[in-house]
Order: sequence, then C-alpha cells, then structure tokens
Amino acid sequence: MKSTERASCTAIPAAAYDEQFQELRGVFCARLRSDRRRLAVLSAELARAETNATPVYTDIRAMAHHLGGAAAVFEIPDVAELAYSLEQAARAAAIVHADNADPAVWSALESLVDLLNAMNGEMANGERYAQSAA
Amino acid sequence: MIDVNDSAIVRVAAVAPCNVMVVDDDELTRAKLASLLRLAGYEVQVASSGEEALRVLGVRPCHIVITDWEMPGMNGLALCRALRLRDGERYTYVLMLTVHGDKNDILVGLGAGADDYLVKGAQVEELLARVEVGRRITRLEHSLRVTGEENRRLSVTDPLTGAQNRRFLMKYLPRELERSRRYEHPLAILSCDIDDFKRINDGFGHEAGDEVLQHFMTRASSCLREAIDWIARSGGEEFVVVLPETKLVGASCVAEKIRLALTGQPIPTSAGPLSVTVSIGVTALETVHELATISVVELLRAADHCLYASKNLGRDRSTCMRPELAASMLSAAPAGARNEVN
Repeated sequence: MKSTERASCTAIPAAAYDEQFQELRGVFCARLRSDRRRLAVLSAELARAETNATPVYTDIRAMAHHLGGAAAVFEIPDVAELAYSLEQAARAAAIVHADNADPAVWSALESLVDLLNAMNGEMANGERYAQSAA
Repeated sequence: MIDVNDSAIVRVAAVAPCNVMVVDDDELTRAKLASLLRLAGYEVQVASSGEEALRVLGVRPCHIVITDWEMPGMNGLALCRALRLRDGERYTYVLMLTVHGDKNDILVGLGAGADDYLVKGAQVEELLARVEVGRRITRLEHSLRVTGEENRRLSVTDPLTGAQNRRFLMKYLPRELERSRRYEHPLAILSCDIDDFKRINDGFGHEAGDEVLQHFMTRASSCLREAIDWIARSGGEEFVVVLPETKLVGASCVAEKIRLALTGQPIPTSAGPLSVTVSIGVTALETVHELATISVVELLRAADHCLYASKNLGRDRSTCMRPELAASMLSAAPAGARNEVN
C-alpha cells in the first residue's frame, strides 16, 4: 500500500505537459480571432442601440465572461483581466439600463479589442502568443 | 495559470481509481482541464451543462465534480444543490472553478454546496492540489461509509453462524407482521432447537458445537426462499425462521425440509461426523382476525409452544399449530413442561 502510494506520486514532466497543451492552446489562440470579430460586431450593435442598449450589454457581458474564463484557463492573464473588466462594466451598465454610451464599457471594450488586435498581429508574425504556446 | 518551466507538476494518481467530471460550457476549457487531469492520473468525464452532468452522473457516478458557475440552462450553483440532494448514496466532492472571484461569490458558491472554490487563472499546481484534497476526502468518506455499513451489518448479525441476531429478529419481525396485516397476507414462523445440544458441547467440545450451529444455518438456509425468508439465531442453539406470505401448511413443509436437511447427513466436525437432529415448532397467522389480534410476542410464544410439543413428543420432529390452539394447549399443559425442553 505504502509503496503503491509512493509510486503513484510521480511527476508529469514539463515536456509532456507542453506537448499535451501546445495544440489546445494553438486552437484557443485561433479562436481569439473569432472572439475579436464577435466583439467588433457587438461594438457595432451597441453603437446602433440608441433606444435600448441593455440586451447588447447583456450579450457583451456573456461574451466577456466566456472569453475571460477561457483566457484564464489558457494562461493569458492580460486578456482574462481585460475581459473581466469588460464583464463587470457591462453587468453594471445592464443593471442600471445605461444608454449605449457607457464610458466604462466602451473603455474596456476598446482596450480588449486593441489587445486582441495586437495579439492577432503578433500571432500572424508568429511572435509572442503563438510562441508562448510552445 | 501555468508555470511549469522547471518544476514538474505533481501527479497524483489515485491509489484506487478516482473519477473526476469537468463541467464547463466552453469546449476548449473542458478539453484542457480534462487533459490535465488525465495526465495527473485521474479518470475524467466531461459535460457542457448542469443538466448533462446530472444525466451522465446518473449513469456513471464520479468522486469529484469540477464545475463552472455560469452555464446555459442549469448553472453550477443549481448543479451543486442537485448533487447535495443525492448525497445519501455517495458523496460527490464539488470544486467550483469560475471567474467569479468576489468574497460574496465564494460564499454563495460554498453555500450552494460546493466543497471548494477556485478562481479561474489559478496555477495548475493549485488546481491539482485541490483536486487531490477532494480525492482524499472522498476516499475517507467512502471508507467511513463502508465501515458504517459493516458495523450496521455486524450489529444485527450473529458472528458465528451469519444468521440475523436477536436484535434483528425483534426489530424486523414486527415489521413483517405489520406488512402482513396491511396486505392481509399470511405470516409463518418456525422455532427451531437443536436436540441435545448440551450433550454435543459437553461430549465433543465447543468447537464441534459451533460447527453444528454453522452447519444448521447452512442447511436450513438452503431450504428457504432467497431474499424473502430469513433466519435469526434467537438463543444458544435456538433459531427462528421467518416465512412471509406463507400459510401453516407451507410452513410445515419447510420445517420438514429443514429437519431432513439436518438429519439426512451427519455433520462433519473437528470431533468427527455427528448425527444431529432438530425439533421445530411451526405456527402461522392466516386469518384477518389472527393478524389483527396476535402480537409478535404471542406469535413467538405460540411457535415455542409447538416446539415444546415436539420436544415432549420425542424430539426430531416438527409440530404445527395455529397460535390460539398452541396457547390453549400450553395453558392446559402441566406446570414445568417448558423446563422439560432440550
């Protein structure tokens, strides 16, 4: 029993870990591109929502929540943090039924899209984010 | 979340297989967590919502559930609450893994029934360490449950023969009687006493006596319906056989089967083969009146009266009587007749 216990507490070599998750992380980074497009669509919808912006804020919050959770799991903390800020801002705006010009939402939205744009450029050049997957 | 540059991630393969379910509506998150846990030695299943998790768990239970909070349909909180309603059968350790990191969120999560709470973005080592805590706790809970069940079984079982003990008899015979009353179905009991048992013990030793008791139990059990009839050791060499849904005629047949099963072949003991006989008293409640008016104590007493009759008639036989007749016969018997038994 004791020896089994000891034997079972072996270690996952970092190389095996990297190998296992490199592909998944690559898929996630590719998905970030479609998330960026989706955020752009939501931005446009928000800009057009002059009478009732609450449903758009709700969609933005859900999108940001989804993105933030996955980014955290895939160890991209800057995306996770900005997504979290956007989620919080959109939630607050939805609660108070803010108009479509809520500055906190727009600020967070733009920061996140900018970051994703930057990452997209880097990924296209095979730099930081794609490299960090290896 | 991950920093595995130089230090390896501790792999915690369960000594016994440990199943973990990952519940998250994000496909890539599910895939990543599942891969990580498999690498760490866990068996993993996945679900994309609370409803799917419950459905899968209904078919294949698991020890640990790692669940997201926000999911379409049934969310993580509702899943926690639903799992807690199932704790009677088996405890499921729930780790909530979510982006909600406020103190109040943590309280809400734990209040819904989560055992642990981790914010997405925590290091992999921390996630695995917490899952390992879950594995430890579920293993302890399992061992506690098994021990409790074993203790319950032992508390109502005679350790020598494996028959139910007197405590079980006095707890479950009233229930059998209640059931018979409710459905107006007959209930029979046999009171069995191994003949000259004192002589066996004195002449061949207690070990041989114990072997006789064990063989009686084995042979008598082979004459009964599985999962319906049952035997309790009510005293030293005395056994009560309970036969639900059985009238006196049927019970009489069973009594004869048991008697012949014992006397048909000598019992192999450490002192050599021993020929052993048994006397049996048989009684049954059949009519609505009997069922309504005769108590458990009176029923047992009636079976004993029949047993005494078998003894007094020369042993190695069974005597059958309806309870009221047995009672009236005993009242007519000379004082001290009971002491002549054995």
